Amino acid sequence: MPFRIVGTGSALPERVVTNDELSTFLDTSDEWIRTRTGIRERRVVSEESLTDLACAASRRALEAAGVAAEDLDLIVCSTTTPDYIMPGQACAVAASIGAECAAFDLSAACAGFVFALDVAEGWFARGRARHVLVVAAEEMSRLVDWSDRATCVLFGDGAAACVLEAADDGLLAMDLSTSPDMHALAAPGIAGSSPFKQGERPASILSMEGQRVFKFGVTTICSAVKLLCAEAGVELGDIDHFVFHQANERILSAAVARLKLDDAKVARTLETCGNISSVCIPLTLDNLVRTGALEEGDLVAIVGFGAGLDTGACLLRWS
Amino acid sequence: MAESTTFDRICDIIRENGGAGDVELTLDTKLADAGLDSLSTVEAVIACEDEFGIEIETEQNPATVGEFVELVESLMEK
Repeated sequence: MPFRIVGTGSALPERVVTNDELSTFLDTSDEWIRTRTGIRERRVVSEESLTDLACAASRRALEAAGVAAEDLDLIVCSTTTPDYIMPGQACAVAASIGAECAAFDLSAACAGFVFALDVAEGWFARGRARHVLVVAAEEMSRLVDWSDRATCVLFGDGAAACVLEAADDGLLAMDLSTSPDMHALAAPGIAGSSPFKQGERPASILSMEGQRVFKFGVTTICSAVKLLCAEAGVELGDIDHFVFHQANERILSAAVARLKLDDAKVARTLETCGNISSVCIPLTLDNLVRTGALEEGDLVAIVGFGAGLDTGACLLRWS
Repeated sequence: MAESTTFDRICDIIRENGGAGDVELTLDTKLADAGLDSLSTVEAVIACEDEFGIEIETEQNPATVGEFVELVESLMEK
């Protein structure tokens, strides 16, 4: 049994960091960043915690759905930067909103939200859930090297959530894939302080091969969209909204050109939020919902991609 | 002449992706001198894939117009 999304919510940090502010401590400029990435500003965690944001986004999604926390059967949190390695970020959300269902985290980098939808689909299919909360929460600001102008300007922090409900239709196609690559985009795990470990471990700092990720992004968006159309038996022109991972405006533009899409159908949050990893897709969905852009019956194609190199894509009929 | 056609089409793509400007493109012109940075080089590579119906690995990114022509022609022969 598939599902439908019955409520969305998001929460961003208060602190806005503009390109001009970055230019005060990096050798860069607003013009350089905007023309190469499409990003004007991003939100960065200062006084709040990631848990605060994840809980606020979850509460907003539950409220929009009209679903009580105690009616949830599962909480999955997509994150690469949880407040705690354990318990999971999902457990912190459960504690805060007053849910007592199973709660765990999932790590699939920027594609994590779609991977979490796929996990939820399994719970619905096995009849183990009526309501699932999928929340994405990322504090990329603690993973980036703030002296590296090539990477730190790209990312932001935030959280976004969706409440899913079992339904007879809604999910038309789902496809997850991994093209294994440990170097294109990577951040090592915690170093620890074991007296037995030989040699030094690298710091938990994000590194990226820009050209490789750029090419992968464009290629995987295009192939995933075609795959979704073939799987669901719909034409590209039938799709009303495209919600792609927000890594770089020029990746989006290249994919739009290659697929010959109507640019107005490709939703964006990049300019004001940057790349918030797995949060980008549910944040963009929440924006579409709150601006009234999504109508009953609309077809929504979603493609998340990132480190792994993972790709998660799905086609939803909005209801 | 296949070679000049490929060369002309690649030069058009380089220009469309922000390269060249007033620079006269020859086989020896470095892409960087033609105004392509690392990002626009990948965009030109992607445009070439569509133009010639080939797949170019990212590791193979060319440095000069001549390398670009050679790369495209070697992939077209496959």
